[in-house]
Amino acid sequence: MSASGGGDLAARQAELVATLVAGGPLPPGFAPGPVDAARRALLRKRAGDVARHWPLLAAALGGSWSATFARWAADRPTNGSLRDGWDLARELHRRGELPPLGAEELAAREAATRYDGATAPRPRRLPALARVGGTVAVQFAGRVRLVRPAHR
Amino acid sequence: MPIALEPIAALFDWPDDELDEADFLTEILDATGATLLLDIANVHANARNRGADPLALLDRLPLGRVAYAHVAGGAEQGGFYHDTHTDPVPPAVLDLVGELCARHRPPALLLERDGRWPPASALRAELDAIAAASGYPAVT
Repeated sequence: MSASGGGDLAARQAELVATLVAGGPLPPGFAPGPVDAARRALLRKRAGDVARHWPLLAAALGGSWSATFARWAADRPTNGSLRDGWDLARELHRRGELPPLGAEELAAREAATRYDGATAPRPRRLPALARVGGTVAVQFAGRVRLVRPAHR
Repeated sequence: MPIALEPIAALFDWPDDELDEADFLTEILDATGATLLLDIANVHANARNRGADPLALLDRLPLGRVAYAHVAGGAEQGGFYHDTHTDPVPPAVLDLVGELCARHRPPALLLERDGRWPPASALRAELDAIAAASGYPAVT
């Protein structure tokens, strides 16, 4: 360990983490190609895990799922796969790019669970109705039912 | 409870590190008394991605302290070998199983597979190939 001490090392490690997960610049001395390969590999792993939490969203996007997720996630460190998929689904809905299956999955989640976009989602205690575009889901006593499917 | 240390598959190195992988592992195992969980696919990945010889690493590791070994599949992508756990075990990794066991056979080997599951027959064939390469009896 150099005389400059652990504080310097910690700061350099934080810089590297920002490069890998938050779109930060490449710190001096690192090989650009290999670091970028690691960054992309981490995005692929995240995409796979988010797909397990949001199977209909991922299936609806099919072959473009990995690239769609990677574009969205490249400068966003993870908040956990449930929230990452939720945030992405809402973003796609805002852009008018959420496929029908994804809209139905999002509506079902919104009806069952309260998520403010900033803290951990919590189950809703009261009956609720959620709309995502033309898709409507209702929740009563924890059971969710899609009352109007997405327009296809 | 005994603790075993598993070296990772790394795509890049710290630019001014003072120890290479073998020196780092040997030093930390000596200092802690931990055993080594040797992932032979990671040995392949690191050598392939660093342009180094995997046998040179095997020859410098304390193989007598290997608690058991991991074996996994991976894929070449974008000029790098990725330790994906979702692809078949490549022949180069099976060859390394043989090289490891010729030097010092670990008490057990485990196949890691995390997704994109093949048919059961393909998985059984991979297990048998690992057993054959290591000199252990066939699994199936």
